[in-house]
Amino acid sequence: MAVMILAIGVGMILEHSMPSPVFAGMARPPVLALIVAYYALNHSVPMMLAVALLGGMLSDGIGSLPLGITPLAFVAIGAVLHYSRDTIFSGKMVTNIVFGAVIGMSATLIVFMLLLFLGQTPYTFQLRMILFKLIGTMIYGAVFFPAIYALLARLELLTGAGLSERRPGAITSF
Amino acid sequence: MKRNVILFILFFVLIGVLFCLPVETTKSFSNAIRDVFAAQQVGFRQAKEWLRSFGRGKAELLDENRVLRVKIEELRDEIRQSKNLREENQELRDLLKLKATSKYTLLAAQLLARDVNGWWQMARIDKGADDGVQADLPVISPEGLAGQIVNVSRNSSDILFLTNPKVKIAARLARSEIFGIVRGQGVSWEGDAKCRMDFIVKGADINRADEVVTSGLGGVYPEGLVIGYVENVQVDPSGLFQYAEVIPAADFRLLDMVFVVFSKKNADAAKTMDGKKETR
Repeated sequence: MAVMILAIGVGMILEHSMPSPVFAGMARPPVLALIVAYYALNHSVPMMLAVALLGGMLSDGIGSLPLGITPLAFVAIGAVLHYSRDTIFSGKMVTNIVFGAVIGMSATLIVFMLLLFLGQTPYTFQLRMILFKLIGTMIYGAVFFPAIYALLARLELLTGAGLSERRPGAITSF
Repeated sequence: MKRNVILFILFFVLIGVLFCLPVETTKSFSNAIRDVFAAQQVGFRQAKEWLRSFGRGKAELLDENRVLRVKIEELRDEIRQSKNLREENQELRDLLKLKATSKYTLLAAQLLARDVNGWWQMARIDKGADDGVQADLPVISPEGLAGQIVNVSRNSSDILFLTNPKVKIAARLARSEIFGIVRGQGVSWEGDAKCRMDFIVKGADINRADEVVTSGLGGVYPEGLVIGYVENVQVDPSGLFQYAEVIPAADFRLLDMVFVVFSKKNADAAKTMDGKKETR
């Protein structure tokens, strides 16, 4: 639990301190989504839900989004990953890169759909900017997920935190 | 498995409750989180400035110092002239017994973060409710209008930039009584901010580089704040009006310090908050 809280805190500071370039559609690296993905792939459902809720609420609060949007997006991604991890996730570097790309893009797409559903019109309604944002978060996810995965796995092994929650055979290195 | 299903159901119920909560309640929670992280953003900003100071050579600093000294002298001269004009203006008003026009006061604020959520073009400043800031107050930069306050917590506030399509401003040309509505158009490929002034009367005399200012209509933005300059003019597809593409005067990429504009009655509220802060 301590590692989880630390990961969320540091992840949020990192995410909101990163620049948001125009070529990435003003998007930032989806660090919190990637942390949720890690927990979905290696831990139990309660742990994954806790990370999704805490990380999502903090992200909505600091980003001035309607509360509840980001936790929903996180839990959707987390649920899909959790229930398909044994089938499709191998923990290899290439898999992590591909997963990171898909997670980054999915988080952005789900948040966008939810904003539309709630009647909030994002200013980046220009199709070009939406595409940039999707591609940007895809690239960010591909770059950051392998590092976040390795870091969290190493941290948990070093501290022994959350080991009782880990699934048997959880992958800890590439 | 059954436990997991129950947990998922509880989670979605909680999210549903969050969506249904009153806006004031969710805002209190958001504001509390923002205030906690405002301190971290201030720290990051200071660290950035400290790092930046290492990269700058002595020669560059001396040059900047010289330029700033010249600028200070120019501004002092402008202040002197303005003071003379103000005194003259007051004398004339007294003579004609005219009521003084409303004035506004400015509260300086520094930017803490930009694009706080990546969906709306916004920025966060280091002044909040404790400083008397309220929602819907205009915000200007040294060059011109920047936007409007949208979210206010105790120690910070969010500005919605005028380039956001949600922002609509009653405007007019500075040199004539041609009115229109300015709304944001987002950013271009190169990151240039753009606006558009709509509903300009067809046949109105409007030229490239004309200055666009707030008209004061609508009650949100005081009259006379510089919005930007006309880039080009075209006829609206309906054929009934013209529209002008406007380049905002404020450079949003380099925005570092802004000023929250208080009308006379809001300025009194701000002064009250200042007094309370000092006595703490």
